[in-house]
Amino acid sequence: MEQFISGDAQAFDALYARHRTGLHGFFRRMAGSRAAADDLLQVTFLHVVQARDRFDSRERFKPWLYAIARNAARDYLRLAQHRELGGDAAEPPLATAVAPNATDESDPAQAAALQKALAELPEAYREAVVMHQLEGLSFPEIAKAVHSTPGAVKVRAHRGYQKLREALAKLRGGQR
Amino acid sequence: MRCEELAWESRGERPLSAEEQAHVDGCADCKLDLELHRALAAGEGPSDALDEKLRAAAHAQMNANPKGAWLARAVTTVPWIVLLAAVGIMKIRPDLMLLPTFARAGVPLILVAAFQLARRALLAPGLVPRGRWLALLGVVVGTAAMLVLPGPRAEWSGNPHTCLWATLGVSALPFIVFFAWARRTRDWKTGGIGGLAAGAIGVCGLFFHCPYSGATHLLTTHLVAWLLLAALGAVLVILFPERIWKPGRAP
Repeated sequence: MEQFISGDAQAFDALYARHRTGLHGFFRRMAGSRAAADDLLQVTFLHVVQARDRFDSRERFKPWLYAIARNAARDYLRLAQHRELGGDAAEPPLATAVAPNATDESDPAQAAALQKALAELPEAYREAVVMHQLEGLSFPEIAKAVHSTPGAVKVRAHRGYQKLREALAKLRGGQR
Repeated sequence: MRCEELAWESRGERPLSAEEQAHVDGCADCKLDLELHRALAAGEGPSDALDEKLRAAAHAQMNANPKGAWLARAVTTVPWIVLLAAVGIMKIRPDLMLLPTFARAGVPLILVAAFQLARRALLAPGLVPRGRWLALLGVVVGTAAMLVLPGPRAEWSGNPHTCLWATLGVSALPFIVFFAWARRTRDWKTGGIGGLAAGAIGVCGLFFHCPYSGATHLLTTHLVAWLLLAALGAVLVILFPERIWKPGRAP
């Protein structure tokens, strides 16, 4: 991290390689489309580069990275919502309306149901579930990223998982 | 281990032990949980083309702005400049400096320390709670120092509002700079710390001149101005957070 802060491009590459998949998954689950995830990934890492001198190297990198990522995702969702309400058809639709990329998932029906259930979760629940699941952030780490307490984040994640389980169980019931 | 914990802790990633697998095979809830965890994690990462594009853009940005810490370093020197300016004024216009020598030296140093602690917490975007507490501690110690190191007139001022507005005025410029930083974090607590840091400069600058050191005066004008700036910083960050997502800014 020290090397990255002092401008070492290889150190950036190492950080990027470590977090690219998890962060891309986070954005895909938060925003609902692969194209949006690609854009958000770029915005986040470029912001990380810009703000690197403000990172406290005694802290862990991951919560800081996810604090930036979460802000980017929230802004994207808000912007998409405004555009949808304004009837701007040229812009990407909201997460609820976007089917996941078929090449990403082994079971498209399950993936679509899961994405729909995720999109219906309150934003705070969704980010807690996705951060915990996709890059294995601990609850104290998530709490730092979202400026909350570990207890509150754990409750949100549990409730989010509960709702997703119900959605998945409903899907299983419907298929039988 | 409870059913829910099995999926929760393995996150659908680690191989299950024989005992756990036997349990999962016979438990519909565990099966569903594991399926959910695996489905959530499914999917590919970014494409190679995107990786390449992003790395090139990041490297270009790092080369264009080798560290980008010049502003932080510049702001760090501000309170020292205020101190030097005050010492210079003391030499030219000793009549403006109404405090005894030991108070002139002690209190400003404590206030500058409060500023440095607040600035430190401000620059690490929202992730240094310890720094925040230290910044608040700086405010408490600075206020206590003002109270125990009396000026020439330990009484209530006849015109209390002057000190309030003077502190706010001296702190205005640093406040604008700190607010620009704090709004990037979108954390109201960091906004509050930005206000405290800016206020430390105003309180420090004013302390050299104000002849009134009565507790009532200090606690109702100097301290109120400082806390007002903290509150203003917090509220403004909530109302005007920086928007990071700017479509079209990415390469």
